[in-house]
Amino acid sequence: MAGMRRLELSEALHLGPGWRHACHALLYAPDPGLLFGRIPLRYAVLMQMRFDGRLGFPGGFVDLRDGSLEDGLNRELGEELGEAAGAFRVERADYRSSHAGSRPRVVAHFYTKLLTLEQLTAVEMGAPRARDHGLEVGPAQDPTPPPPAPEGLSQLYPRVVGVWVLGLVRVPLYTLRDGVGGLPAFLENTFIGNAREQLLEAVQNLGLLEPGSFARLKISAPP
Amino acid sequence: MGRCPAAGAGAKMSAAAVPELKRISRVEAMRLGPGWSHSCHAMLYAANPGQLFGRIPMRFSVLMQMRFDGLLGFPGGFVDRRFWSLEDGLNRVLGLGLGCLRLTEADYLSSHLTEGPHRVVAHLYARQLTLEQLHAVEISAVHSRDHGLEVGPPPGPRAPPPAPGFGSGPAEGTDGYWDLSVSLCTPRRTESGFPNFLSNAFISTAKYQLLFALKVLNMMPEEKLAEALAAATEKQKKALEKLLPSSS
Repeated sequence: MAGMRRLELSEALHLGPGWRHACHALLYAPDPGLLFGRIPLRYAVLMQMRFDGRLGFPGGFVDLRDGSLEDGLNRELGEELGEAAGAFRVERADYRSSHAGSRPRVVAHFYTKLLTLEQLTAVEMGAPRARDHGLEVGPAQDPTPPPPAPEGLSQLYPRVVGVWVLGLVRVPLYTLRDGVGGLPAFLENTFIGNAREQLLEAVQNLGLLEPGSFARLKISAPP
Repeated sequence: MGRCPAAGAGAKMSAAAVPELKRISRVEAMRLGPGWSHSCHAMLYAANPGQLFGRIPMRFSVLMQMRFDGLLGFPGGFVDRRFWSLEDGLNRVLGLGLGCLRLTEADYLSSHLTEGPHRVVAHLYARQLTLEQLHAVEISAVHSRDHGLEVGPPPGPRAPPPAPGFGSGPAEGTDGYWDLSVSLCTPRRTESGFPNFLSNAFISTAKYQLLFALKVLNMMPEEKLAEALAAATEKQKKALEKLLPSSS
């Protein structure tokens, strides 16, 4: 994706104070279920439909002065997803990648966290309540209106206290007989920042698809 | 909230009109022969007094689903008219996902002929709930999803040919398992999420139905709908250009 470069975590952590850090997490769990009684679901992978009508991962901006990246990420997950997020903790071992953009200066850190299906389902059940609480409470009163959301890396309007998750969705990992329905069609949705690339990389590296099927996926990849 | 008389096929189209599928009356739809498949879907919505960032009014929350095939749509599915009335079929399908909400003929909104070579007529129902009721439906949907997955759809006596976009779905049974609630913002400013939302991957019938329902239920003026749709189409075009290999 134009304007973004991958960097090592150590390099990212040494970027100056002019840089903002954002952390997001792909939560997933093995799922023994079968679609239509015959297509293995394999894993449940969570994404969310955001307030801006785009799909993304839960998480948000973190301030390194308040603690580690993981401290900030777990706090964001708690705010966005509610108390079910308290049942697990995303750690440094779950870290996957960092990508930096130049305008605005945001570096996005991506994590993947393996949960049990019970933990993941508990997150899904609690999410509507967490969302509506966020809607009622609203952001802290800020006399300066937030600037329009920059395209690219940032997955959150700056200066806003919380993100209003409109709904959690599961990513279909299978492909239907027509070769399009399922994951290929899902990838045609609108994603925020580099969430689509983060998803594809995780799906491949974590072995979430049926072995060998990633290569067969007829999807367009960005140049 | 009253419903304005539907525009229907005879309405004049303004320059910035929203494209529509061919609409037919319920009577005409019931007269269609056995070669036609019937699908029933429900738009459940609630007035939402909340504000994004404390200033952008949400106006309404509309419940939609991420379907099994990775496309967005309304809750519902195919109904076999040899065994069920439209309403019974719809409630049966919704019962798999949405607890004890029951829709009636009073909630019927429209019938449209779908695009494509397969003969499918899509019936849309709409019911306004309170925000609390919508919330309860959402939560109950998560609970009942796994049951629906294990049980699977009932085997249909004769499956209609798989329609493109309907995937290799069953003759009957809910076609969505994962719910999300969409909040539509009045697009007074360009930062509204609705054009982005429209640029997602919908099962095409649902997109037409959503725009139609928002219009006839007076939830959004037609010019605004047309603007949002135009902006969404533009976004999709740009996204596609980015994904295609550069010609250098």
